[in-house]
Amino acid sequence: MTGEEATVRVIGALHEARIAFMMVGSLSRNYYAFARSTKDADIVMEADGDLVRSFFEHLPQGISLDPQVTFETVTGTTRQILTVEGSAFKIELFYLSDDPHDCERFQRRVAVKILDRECFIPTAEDVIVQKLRWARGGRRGKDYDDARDVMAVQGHRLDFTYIRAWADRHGTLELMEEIHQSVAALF
Amino acid sequence: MEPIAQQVDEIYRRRVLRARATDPLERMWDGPRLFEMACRVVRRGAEDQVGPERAEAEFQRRLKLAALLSERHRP
Repeated sequence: MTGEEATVRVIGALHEARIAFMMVGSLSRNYYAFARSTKDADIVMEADGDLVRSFFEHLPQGISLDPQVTFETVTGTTRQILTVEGSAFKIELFYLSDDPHDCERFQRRVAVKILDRECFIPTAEDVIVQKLRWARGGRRGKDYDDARDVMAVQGHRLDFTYIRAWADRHGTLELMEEIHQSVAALF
Repeated sequence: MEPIAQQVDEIYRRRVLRARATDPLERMWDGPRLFEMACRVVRRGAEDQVGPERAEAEFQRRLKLAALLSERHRP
């Protein structure tokens, strides 16, 4: 099974289990910027004990739950990993945290149609806000590049008032303006 | 601006324009597709270098190494 097929099946299973979710990480980043190779699909779920338990008990065929719960150092959250038969691709599941921006980006998530299913992803603005935060906190070069790439590809569609408000709260306003200016100079 | 920096900027600008002209869902799914294509190449390389019996272990070792390198912080 390919990573794409596995992701579509897991999205279907989340719908069937009635779990609210959104796809974050590289897939949503690719949606708003460039295609870049990704080894996993990251999904944030709004946790409800019984529903999540039922979801894990009825995973699609060929997809298994890694029993080990791991800690994500950059985001500071726990994650559960689904492995895909015949593929090195993984699906990583995170629980919605009570962080104010995490909650707001979940509320503002948008639906995109994948085959016959609705899949939810954060807005482009929320992808940027999150990437700026990680670029500052985790000092990962790829988060800086991701924020820049989404800004460059989305251009004038972005609501910078919204981005600036969160960047100000997160202490990333200076970084955001630096990236914005570097991108604006190209067009 | 130095000519090399201008060229880098121009390459990036063209990349952005190409991305704007591509279906966002295609860009999204290209991520796992590119990864699987890369895995096939790495598997083949591992098989050629260490033989079919040890290829899977070598493939897994290279995957772990790639994950470690991608998580490295900026200096």
